[in-house]
Amino acid sequence: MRARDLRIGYGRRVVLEDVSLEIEPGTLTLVVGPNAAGKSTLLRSLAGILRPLGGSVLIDGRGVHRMRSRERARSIGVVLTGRPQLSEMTVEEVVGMGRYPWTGALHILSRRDREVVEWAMEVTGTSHLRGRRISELSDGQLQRVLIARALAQEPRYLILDEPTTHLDAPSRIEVMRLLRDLAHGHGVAVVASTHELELALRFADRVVMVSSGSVKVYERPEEAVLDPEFLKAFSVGDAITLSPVTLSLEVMARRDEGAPRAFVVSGAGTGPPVFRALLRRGFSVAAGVLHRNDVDYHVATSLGLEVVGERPYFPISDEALRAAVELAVSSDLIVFTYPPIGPLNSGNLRLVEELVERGLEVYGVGADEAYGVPGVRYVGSVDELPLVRKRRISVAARRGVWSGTRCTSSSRTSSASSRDPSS
Amino acid sequence: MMSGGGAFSRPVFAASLAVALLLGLVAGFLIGGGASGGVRTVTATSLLERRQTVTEQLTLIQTSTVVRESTLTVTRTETVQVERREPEVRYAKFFSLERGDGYAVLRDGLNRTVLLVRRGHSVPQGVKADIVVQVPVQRMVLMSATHVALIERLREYAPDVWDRVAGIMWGGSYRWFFPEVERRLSAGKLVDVGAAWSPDYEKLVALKPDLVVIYTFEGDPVRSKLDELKIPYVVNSEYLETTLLGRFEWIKLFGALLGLDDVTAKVFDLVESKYILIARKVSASMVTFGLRPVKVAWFSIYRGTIYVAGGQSYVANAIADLNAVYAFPDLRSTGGAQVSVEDFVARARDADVLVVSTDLLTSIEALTEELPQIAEFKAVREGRVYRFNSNIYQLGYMDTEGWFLDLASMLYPDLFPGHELSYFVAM
Amino acid sequence: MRAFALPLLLASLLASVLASTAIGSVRVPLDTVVKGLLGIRVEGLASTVIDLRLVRTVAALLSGASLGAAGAILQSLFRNPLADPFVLGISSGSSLAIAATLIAGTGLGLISSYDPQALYVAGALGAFAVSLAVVALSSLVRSSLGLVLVGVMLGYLASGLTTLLVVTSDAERIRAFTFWTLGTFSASKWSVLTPVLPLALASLIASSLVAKPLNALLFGEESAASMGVSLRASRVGAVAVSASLVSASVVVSGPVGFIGLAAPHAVRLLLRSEDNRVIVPLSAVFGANLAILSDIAARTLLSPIELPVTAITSLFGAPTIVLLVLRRWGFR
Repeated sequence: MRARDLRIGYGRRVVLEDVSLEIEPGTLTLVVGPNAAGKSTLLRSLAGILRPLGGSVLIDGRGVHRMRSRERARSIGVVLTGRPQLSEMTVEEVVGMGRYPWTGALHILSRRDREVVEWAMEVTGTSHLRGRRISELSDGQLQRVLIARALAQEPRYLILDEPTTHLDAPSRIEVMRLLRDLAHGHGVAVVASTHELELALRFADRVVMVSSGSVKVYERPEEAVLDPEFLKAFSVGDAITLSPVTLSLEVMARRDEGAPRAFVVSGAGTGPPVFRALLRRGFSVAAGVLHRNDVDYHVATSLGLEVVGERPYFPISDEALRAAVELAVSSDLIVFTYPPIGPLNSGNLRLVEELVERGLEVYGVGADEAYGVPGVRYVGSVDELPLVRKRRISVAARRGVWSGTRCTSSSRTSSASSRDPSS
Repeated sequence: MMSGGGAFSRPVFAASLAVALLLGLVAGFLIGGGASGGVRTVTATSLLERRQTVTEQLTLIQTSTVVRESTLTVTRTETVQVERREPEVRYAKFFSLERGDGYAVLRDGLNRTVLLVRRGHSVPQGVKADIVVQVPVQRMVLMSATHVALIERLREYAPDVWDRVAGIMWGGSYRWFFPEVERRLSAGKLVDVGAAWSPDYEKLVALKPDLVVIYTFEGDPVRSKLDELKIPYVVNSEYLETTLLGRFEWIKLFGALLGLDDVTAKVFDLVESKYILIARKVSASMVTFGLRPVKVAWFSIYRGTIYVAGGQSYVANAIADLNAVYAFPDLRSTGGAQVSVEDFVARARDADVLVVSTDLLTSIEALTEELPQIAEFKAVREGRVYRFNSNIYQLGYMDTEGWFLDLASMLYPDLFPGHELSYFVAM
Repeated sequence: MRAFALPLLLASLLASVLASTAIGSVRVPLDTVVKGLLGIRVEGLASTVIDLRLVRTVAALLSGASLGAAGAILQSLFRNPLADPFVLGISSGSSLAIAATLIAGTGLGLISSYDPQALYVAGALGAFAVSLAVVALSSLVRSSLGLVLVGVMLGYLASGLTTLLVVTSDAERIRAFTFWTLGTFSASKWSVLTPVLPLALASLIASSLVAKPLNALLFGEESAASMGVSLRASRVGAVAVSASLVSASVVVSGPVGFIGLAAPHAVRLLLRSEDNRVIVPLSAVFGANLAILSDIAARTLLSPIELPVTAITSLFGAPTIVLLVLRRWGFR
């Protein structure tokens, strides 16, 4: 299927311009973009439902919009959002309706038609539902049945508008898997729009981004993640990051100037829960020393935290240590998360020693005290951290909210200046 | 192909709606042009002379070197002389009756030619008719209370006349003022075949009527059904007459159907002479006593809408015959018409007499509620307001001369002292 | 249930036809009725009476079947359970066209009494015009209750215009048009039925052909288009077929209400199906049944007075509407 110089919209209102793309058989193309950008418009135009204002959509050189309804239906299957008013129909009947462009005036199913219906139900995993009525199906099951219906048309192209919206998490993945299977396993060219950015990046063969009146095609999902335009299309300001490595979204921490700062020494996955917990409690967080291939580093940078890093597979250098000490010293709270220590990050133990020697309080946080480190006071959970407690109380007092915790008469605002945890 | 929004735009649909409606009308006319059914119209101009126009077409073939065909049209007129009689029906315009030997030719309310043949006599040759009826009719079915009223009038002279009537289309929709009719209905001697607009055809057919007297209109389903069932009927259009005597003269129709011609002639002559007497008395008195012509308004009100008798209706004509002035003589209607409150107040406020043509408004208060301005009317201030009595539709028709007398006495009470109104009630 | 539905409904229809020919104000023994129906010669009065009842029965059958099928089509087309030729004003539009043709036609002396085919065409055009209006407005009015309101308005408009026609013609004709505003089978005549019968039959057959696209339309218009339905053709086709059906019914009996509403719902309830290929024809059968039974009630309840048949049909029609509205938008 080839779209050439499409200009699409409704009446006078042009939604997208200069759209050219090719849909190859056996591929899964996912269309993403902010709301109301024109994803539905694009899909409907490709499907032949919406006539383009300019340009054309061709299948094997034949204009899709020139074809008669019946002929087009034999090539393109469409699944739109919305629950159809079919409550009393059985699943088998609904899938059978997909044979519409192949049956006669009274829609009597031949043996071949029935075979196709069976196949469609099998592929979508809905055979066991055949006798159930539509009203009895869950959203996930219904979606698969509707896909089966479109499949029964034996289309070469399957176009779906937001097939995963309104579905619960497991169903979403199921549907995506089905779509990929249809593309790779059955040679159908599948084009679907979705809001699930992370799913899209994981399942798609190609990603098409629709935003601000134009369309951009990424031949590989990874390209999309690296393109700042792509990120811009989805970010709210700069508050969201998308990791090209994990393909996950992260909400960046807000920079609150008056917030107390915590410095966390972690590694190998022990850090992120603590980062997040502290961030939730209104702290700004800095971390170090973390190797750049450490997952804690990755999460910290995604969260936009200040991090002291070290080259992968190199022992922690003195410069890194110095930078870390500087950062720690200017923080209000120092936390140690008992990361596993090996030859390459034993420098972190030395960091802790140094801090203790300077008279700073280092608190250990973790499910249990994995190992003893002289000078580190184990407190268990983040909530037990003194400043955390105090901050909660004074914040509560400032807000005048009765939180059930004792309201101290301390009128001191929670400023970052005090480093003495006992005051 | 879908464009966003509906498949039809508003001006398109409005236009198509209008066009379709128009097309419907036009198609109806065009296709309906070749209509079948309906009433065959035969006009017997009169029995005095019948002119038959016969047109023959002769085809001449000229033999000569060139063979030609031409058509020659020959018209000849035959005049046949028939017996002379004076027209029997003098006032009624919607039917006529002419007598022959052992038969009569009746033209009914739909201009159909009904040949009435006395039993035992043969059907006369050469008289074209739509329907042939043997008289006297033995099992007649009536459609309206007005028909019943005329039969009741005849009963005075022919006590067994009801034996000739098998059924009526009543359906319990109104009350009877004829005890004889009520009696016969409950005794089962007279069968109720249902309401006139939708009779029970089964009952009707089971009665085996030999004639049904109906009133009808264009597209009347009852008439079509009677045609289909091949039940003979005669159309009575007495309500279309514009004179009181014309309306009453339809008793001659029943006389002809029931073989009571002499009786009806006498009855009618009686009523006619009484009518003339009353009218002459009034006109003479007016000259003698120098009476001013009385002005009359004849109306009814329902939900604020005013209906008045038309200027050419029998009411207006009766009023004129009494040398009185009707408030709306210029209203070109033979029945009734709706007028605006303004017009009515302007014309009727100085009327000497008000007649309210309904029995539903029973007091001046009720009248004033419907029309507050009426309190200032001359007739109201002078207490000369009358309304219908419920029996007027039945008894007032049966006793047409009594109706006229009531009217005269309402207009000129001094000329008819001691007269008590039968069909009207003073409000 | 589904397997038994058709034979059950047909048997019931047969029973109704028999009952309708056997019941009436004149007593006719059952065996005579059966003989008469089978075409065996029957003497005089009985023969006429049976014929009288038969003509009404056939009229009710034709009218009821047409309305049932039309109702099923309209409910599918507008995806609205309250759609019905009467409720949507289509019957009124049909009546208006017929009334106008009759009045104007007789006024101009072109039609002297009713010519059923001319009136059928006029009625079909009137029904078509109103249906077009409803379809056009339905694309502007998204809610289904709104659509019904539109239909009611159009019905009032049509009735208003009819009243206008009536008032501006003379008093006599007023009586003629009360017939047209109240449906009744009492004035049925073979001369009207016989020409309309083949038209109604053809329309009924056409109605089952419309079932396939109607089924697809249940998925929504865009989805249906993607399945191979040509929207414009199927919409026009459905409207034309239902208009033709409604017109056949109106010519034969005047506007009869609620059969088009109740029959499809009853069938859907019985079958628990939404397949129009089954619902449309069975609604025709059910509608015929309903019409015949209503006619029997109309002429026997207060004999010899005959009730207008819509008075009877509204007895089950109005509660049906209330129930439907409550189920959909009200309490469960």
